[in-house]
Parts: sequence; C-alpha cells; structure tokens
Amino acid sequence: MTTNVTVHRGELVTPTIMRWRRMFFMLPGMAWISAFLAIPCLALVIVAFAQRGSFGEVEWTFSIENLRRLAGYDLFGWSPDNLRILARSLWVALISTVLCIALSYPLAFFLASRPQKTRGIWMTALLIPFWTNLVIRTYAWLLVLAPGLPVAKFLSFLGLIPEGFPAYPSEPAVWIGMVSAFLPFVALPLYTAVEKLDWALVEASQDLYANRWRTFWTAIWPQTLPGVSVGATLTLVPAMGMFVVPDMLGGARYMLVGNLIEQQFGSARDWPFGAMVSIALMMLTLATLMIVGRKGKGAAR
Amino acid sequence: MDLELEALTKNYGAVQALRTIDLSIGAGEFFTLLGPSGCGKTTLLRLLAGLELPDSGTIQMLGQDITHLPANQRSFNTVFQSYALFPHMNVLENVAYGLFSRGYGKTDAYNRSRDALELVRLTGFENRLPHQMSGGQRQRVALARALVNEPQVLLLDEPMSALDAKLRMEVQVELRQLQQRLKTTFIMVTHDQQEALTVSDRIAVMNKGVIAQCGPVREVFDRPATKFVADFLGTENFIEAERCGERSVRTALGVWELREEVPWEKGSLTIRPEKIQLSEADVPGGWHASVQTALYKGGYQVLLLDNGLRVETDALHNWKTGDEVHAVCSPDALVVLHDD
Repeated sequence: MTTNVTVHRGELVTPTIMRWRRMFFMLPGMAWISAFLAIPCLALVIVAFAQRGSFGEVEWTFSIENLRRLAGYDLFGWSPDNLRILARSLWVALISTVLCIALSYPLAFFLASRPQKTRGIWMTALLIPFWTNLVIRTYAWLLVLAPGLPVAKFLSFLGLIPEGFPAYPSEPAVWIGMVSAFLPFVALPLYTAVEKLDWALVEASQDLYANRWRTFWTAIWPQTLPGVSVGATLTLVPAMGMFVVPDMLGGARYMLVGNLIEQQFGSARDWPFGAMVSIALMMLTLATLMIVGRKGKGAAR
Repeated sequence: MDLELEALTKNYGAVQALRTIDLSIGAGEFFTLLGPSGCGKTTLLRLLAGLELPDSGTIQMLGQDITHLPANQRSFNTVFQSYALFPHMNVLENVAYGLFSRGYGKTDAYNRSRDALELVRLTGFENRLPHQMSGGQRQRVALARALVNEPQVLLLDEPMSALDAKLRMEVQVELRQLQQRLKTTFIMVTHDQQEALTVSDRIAVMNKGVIAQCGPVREVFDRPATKFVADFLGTENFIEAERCGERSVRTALGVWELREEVPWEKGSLTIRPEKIQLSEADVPGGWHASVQTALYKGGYQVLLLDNGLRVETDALHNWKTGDEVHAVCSPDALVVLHDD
C-alpha cells in the first residue's frame, strides 16, 4: 500500500487529513467574513446602481445615474462639490496621518526610554482618553477651543479669528480633533518599533562619519518604517471616513465624505447614492494605501 | 608611540568599568585587549571609537587630544560584534557608506568600495543584501566597510564571536595576514586567549577594569605576572612556595632554583603544563609521581598527576593511569607570580 504519510510537527498525517483539518478550522472565519463582509459589500454594489424612490425607498431600476451624480452631474449641470468633498477628505486624512506620525515619533522614543517600572503609567496616560467615547472627547475640544479661553484668546491676539469667537469651526480644528482621535494608533506601533531598535546601526553610522541627518534617515527611519506603516494605515483608513469630528469641529459647510455618506443614509434617505459614495470612499482608501505602501517600500530600499 | 591612553576611568553608576587605564599602542601594531566578560575591554574599545566618553583621563592620537572628539570625526573605524550592516542596503552601498558620508563622488566611492571588497575576497557579492550572506561573509563586509575609509586605527569588537570554530581559525589567519599587508593599527577585543595569541603583536590582559599585564604575546604567555593572567592563559599548575634564598624556593615538591629573584617570603609559582617533561627513568632534580588520569587529545595527551600537577605531553609515549613517572622542568619554565 502506498500512502503518502508525512510527519508534521511530530504527528503522522496524510495530505488528505491536513486538507480536511484546514477546511474545518477555516470554516467559522470564512462563514463570518462572507456573512458580514462579502455579502454586505455585494449588496452595497447592487444598491449603488439602484434608484431612490419618491419616499426614500430603494427602487430597483438600475442605471449609472448615481455614478454621474457622484462625478457632479445633476439636473442643474455640473458642479465640483462631490469631487471636492472626496479630495478634501483625502487631504484631511493625509494631513492628520502626517501630524500623527510627526507627533508620535518623539512620543515613541520618550516611551521607549522610560524605565520599565514607570512605562506602564505613561502608556496608561496615553490610552486614558480612549476610555471615553469619541463624541464626548470631541465635545471636550469644543470647550477647549471655546471663546474666552486661552487657545481662542491667543488666536484672536494673533488676529487669526475675531475677538470673542471660538477657534472652531475651522480646518485646523478638524486636524486637532482627528489627531487626538488617532494619535495612539500611530504611537503604539511606533513605540514597538522603537523598542526593538538596533542601536548598533546608529553607532555604525556615527562611526562611518555620518552626520545626524544621515544617521536618522539610514539607521533609524528604515527600522521604524514597519511601525510607521501600521500606524499610518490604522489612521488613514478611519480618518478618510470620519464624520463625528468634521461635523462638530468643521462646521456645517465643511463636509467630508463621511458626512456626505451619513447624510445620504440619514436625513436625505437616499441609500443608493450613499452606497455609491461609500464605494467611492473604499476605492479611494484602497488606492491611497497602495500608493503610500509603495512609497514606503521605495523609501526602505 | 602612536596612541596614548592616560589615566582613563569610566563608571556606570556604582560599577567601575575602567579604573586608571594607561596604555601606549604603536603605529601598525596588532594589539589585543583580552579578558573575561565584564573586565572593561569593550568599554575601553568604545572610548577609543568615540561611542562613550571617559569620566576622566585622556586619549591622544599622534600627540593630539581626541578624548572628546565625536565618533564621526575620528579616523577610527569599527568592526562591530554584530557587524551592524545596514539591512536595507546592498553590500556595495554598505561599504561605500563612510565614503558617501565624507562627500566622495559616486564613481570614486564605488571604485574604492570594489577595491575593498576585493581585499576581503568578496568580489561578485556587490548586489547582495546582508541577510542573503553567511556569517563569515557578513563579517568580511563589515571589515571592508571599515577599511575602505583607510582609518588610522581599526577597532574590532569580538569580530569572530558569531563564527563557528573552524571558520574562526581561518578568519584569524586572514585577519593577521591582512593587518601585516596593510600595516594599519588594529585593536581587537576578545575573550578567547587562543585568538588573541594567534593574531596579536602585543596583548593587554584585563581584569575588573584594570590592565593586569601588557606586553608582547610571547612574554605575556611565557611569563604571566599574576595568578589571574596565568589562569586566563590556561596555566593550571599553581605551586605554593616559600623563599629560602635569593633565587631559590621551597615547595612541597622540593627545593627549586629559579632564574629570577624571589620578591616575597611566601607566594606561588606557576609552570605551564606543556613545559614539564616526563620520563620513566629517574632524572636528577625530578619529582616522582604517578599518573592519576590520562586523557588522550589526539595530537597530545593530558596527564593529571597525583601531586596535583597537570602535564601536557606529546602522544608518542602512551602514558596510562597508574604509570610511575619522573617529571622535570627547566628553571626557565618556573614563573614567579607577583600577586599581593
């Protein structure tokens, strides 16, 4: 009898057994993903090409009307509003990510240099805000930026806002809200990378006559890149779709794609168009991640 | 002398890593700092590299004080214990790193780097990444990366600790040949006495932050000054002795004449195990003993005698446990230890 019995981690198995075993263990995960990810995504695509009925119901006549609307064409001709919202969302997400990385960098080094005993305390301090809901945290920013308080006073002293006004709604206020929402998502992976940093490379660079700048870019930055890219992904993706922060700190006229989607599924009761915008957001996020990822890899080489 | 270290000290908190190190190292010398872990040898090397500052004392190179000169301004280069190659750069880029830091043009830097790679016999490996190479090859890249800068002094931090025993022997020979060809000053740190003896002109044996003995390899090996040095270099015969004349001592094995003056009333002597000769017949001045344990080592055999001596002898005569022997050694082989 020829059996292709092999030893896998000290156990006698055949390929058939392994195949069945793999299937068995994959099943729950696969079921979950298809039930709650694949099917809804498919539904989203289908709905995106349907129409809004007169009472806000989904009318099953299919066309590319929603795509045209997204591109800015409607009854009154072309307007750049929707495209502008998408571009602005991308811009704000990128700015927030860059700010988060810039702020997390020194933070990660600070955390990694704390003695083991007190490091836990600093970590907790970083995470305490997350014990509170995002909406409440954003409300807190409204208070911090309120008129008559130091931030607003300082800005009006600089002539950036009129006397007696709050420091919101404004784009920088949205950045502040975004950064405070996402900072730990960058700081923690970055801290992990910094903790594992091989300082011998830094010393080698110094030994080979490099100045600080060169040492940073060749001996430190490439080593932290895994942390940076995890952090950037964890920030960029939710930041693209964020609607709480821009809604509260950006004002009524300052709309990001998250707000647009929320509006379609909410007050406008236009699910098909909301679905189309959601798909656009997914595509945009995916494209951005791919470009950023490739750039990151290029920098590491 | 080329490199002068004067009264260097370095503490880490309550730990005295270095206490008053004075050392002179000549141009073109292969100098080795030898000692057990924690003796301060690596700290001393890091002070030379400019990666640490001493608490006090000075380092002078050709009469110029370089104690506080940062690492990137010293023409000293280091081969790190872990090699510390830049993982995202290929071999050629790694080797050219120091040249680029100093503003060499691309063509010039790469040509010099190729020459350095040829020197360490790595031509053809230019485009490999460090993780695609073996430990021995990586070590040679690290060597080329340091040497391409034509340093005044090359520092080597346990350069062979990551290599297997056989490769280590080869690399020792290569390193010695390379140094003699280039005539660059090499300063190496190691805890392996065999390695130190093989490659060095002079060695300094370190213990607990001080230099226990410094001198040409043969001198240190043949005439260790203290029990620590003798022990570290593999002597295992320590004999208690009492002074009974200007140049003679009384031991449990008899009265011995020495070649040097006895500086103490009571102290100890040492004899290297391979300096003791054995014979079956009685020899004048010899000590009678019997073999307690005989170990065959291939090229030689190790005999442990019932009087506590360890003898290493050639394997021509097959000594067995229980054999009666007569041991003798010349007065030159008796070394007076200067412990306090």
